Amino acid sequence: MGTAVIIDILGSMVIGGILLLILFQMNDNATQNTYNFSGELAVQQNLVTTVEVLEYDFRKIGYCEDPQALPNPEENAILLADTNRIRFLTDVMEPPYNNPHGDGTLDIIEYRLGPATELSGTQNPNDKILYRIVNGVSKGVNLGITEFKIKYFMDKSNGKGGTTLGEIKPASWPIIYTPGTPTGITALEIDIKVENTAAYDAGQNPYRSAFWRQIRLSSRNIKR
Amino acid sequence: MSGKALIILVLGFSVIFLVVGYFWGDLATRSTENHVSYYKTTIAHNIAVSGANIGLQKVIADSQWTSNISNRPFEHGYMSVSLTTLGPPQRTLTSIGAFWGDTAIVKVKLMRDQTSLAKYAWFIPSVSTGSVTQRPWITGDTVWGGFHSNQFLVVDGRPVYFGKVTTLKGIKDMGSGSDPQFLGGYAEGIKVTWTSSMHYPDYASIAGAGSSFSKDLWLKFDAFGNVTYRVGSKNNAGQDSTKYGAPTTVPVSTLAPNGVIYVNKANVYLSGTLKGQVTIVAEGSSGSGGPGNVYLEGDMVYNTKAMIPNGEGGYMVNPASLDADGKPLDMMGIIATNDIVVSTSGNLGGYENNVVDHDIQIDAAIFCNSGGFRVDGLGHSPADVPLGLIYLQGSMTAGKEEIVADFSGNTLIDGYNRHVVFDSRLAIGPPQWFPYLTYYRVVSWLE
Repeated sequence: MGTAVIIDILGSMVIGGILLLILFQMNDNATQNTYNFSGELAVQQNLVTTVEVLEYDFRKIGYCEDPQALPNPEENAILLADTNRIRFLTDVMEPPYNNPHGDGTLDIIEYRLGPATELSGTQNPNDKILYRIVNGVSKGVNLGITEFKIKYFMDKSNGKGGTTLGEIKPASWPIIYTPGTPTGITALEIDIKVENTAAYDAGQNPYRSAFWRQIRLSSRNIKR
Repeated sequence: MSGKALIILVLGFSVIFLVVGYFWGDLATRSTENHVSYYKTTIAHNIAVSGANIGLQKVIADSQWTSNISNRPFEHGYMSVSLTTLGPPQRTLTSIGAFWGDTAIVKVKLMRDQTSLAKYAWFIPSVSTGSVTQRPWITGDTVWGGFHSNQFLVVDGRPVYFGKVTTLKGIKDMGSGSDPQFLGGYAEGIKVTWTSSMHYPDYASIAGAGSSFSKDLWLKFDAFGNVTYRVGSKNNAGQDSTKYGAPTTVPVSTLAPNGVIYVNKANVYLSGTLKGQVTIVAEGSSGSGGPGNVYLEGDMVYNTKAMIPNGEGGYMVNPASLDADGKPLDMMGIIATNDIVVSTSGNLGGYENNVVDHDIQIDAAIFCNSGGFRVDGLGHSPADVPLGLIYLQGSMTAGKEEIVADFSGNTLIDGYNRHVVFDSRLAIGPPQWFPYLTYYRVVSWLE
């Protein structure tokens, strides 16, 4: 055994070390990619889940299984309008759950976005709880929502180019509607942005995010 | 490194790459599936909404309609529309949209209802023969209240509409750069179907023998609740006062105990001030020149004005026009098979009241079944000059839109401008025995 053997051993160690480093880097990259891809999927699933629930509820603004209980939904259905908060009359399924669409009794649903400070325990500093409050009973869920904005529109046709909508821009929010007073609201624009609650190496990588905008959602019950 | 170790190394990495690649591919696939699932749900929902709209359009146009839409291809999917049976006042329309295995359901509850035809300030179901462009609304025309046209809304200049305006075919601008003012909103593509679901009362039976006439009838109301009437001494007495019998003055309630004065196969010549409620009906075979017309020989107004200025540029119900129960004191319906005509000739008052003394004031809910609202002898002397304004407080539903003015460009050269104010009391209750529509209205929409 001589110098050549030592050189062989040292060379093997260097090559092995390089291979090991490559392996570690590859493992790190694979983990990061897995985290990002999984996070992307989770974000998109959370977004779709949120959107489906929102769409279902918002399309039922002013709906009641017993129409006599809410004869003029265009005048009574929306009780409060705010840029990230809305309260409206609808009909939700209640026990014993005989009818999946409602029990004929009016209910009040409110959606609002909580402050970011409520979720200080998560890595993402921007995620908030979206509250769905049914008849005063609050249920919040953290799906990584960082943005929930609503715009309200009313008919502002001027006779040139068909029906057009105009955004309602009051001097101050929220608008609280008195039952029996027409709100004029015929459509909503809803923005939702969802991000991961945590990210791989959050200091270096951005949170995966997905954005959804319902340009004009109109419940037929408030637009007849 | 021996060849065997290299093979193991390569195979090992290959396996790792395959497993990780498969996992990442699965994530990407699931992500795509998530989007596709939402897309399919959305399209199925849109198809269901479209089916509901198509079905509603059918059932509103024809309340007897039964659905024949089953698995109809639509937007690369299928729609099926069903409707619960006729008979009960409430029906439910169910529309199912199917798209690539996803389905969505829209349920619409409909309630049978009635609506008076006196619901618009001005309603144009159709136009008379001739070009639609002969009937523009021009600068100086003003409408407070709902306005609908089943045709175009023809404009030239700057007419002003304070209420909601709806049309089927849109706006036709006869000028260059007309600027109609829609201060209450505007929508187009809306058709009001009225003939198939209209309930037109049997006025001869309602009026009874004492209130029915078969020759031309000249009526003049006074502010004390009376009406002076003269019956044509021969057929086609027309606007010649010498062809009428002696005048008789009685309380309105005496001449019309059931609230209707009915003339069959003849015309009515009308003016005065009404105190009370009455519906004037002139029937005859439909068609130009036939009987069944009402001629306005001068102002025909209520004793107490129904609508008064609200101080903000609009109008409000005059509290004095309501009784203690909030019901109208004075209310007139004018119903004609053919035309309602602003008289400009003859010696029954039309020339003096409508030509010599410009402007005409009409307080009434007007309905012409086959004809329209027009000016007599327009374009010919003496009605070949501007005649001022038609002040209509009430509502106008004319089977055909007729001509009340002639124009050169958007300048009125003869006839009248229109100043129309919807009598808001009509929204609560129309004149006695006024025609109405049966229709199904949407009471709830679930999607």
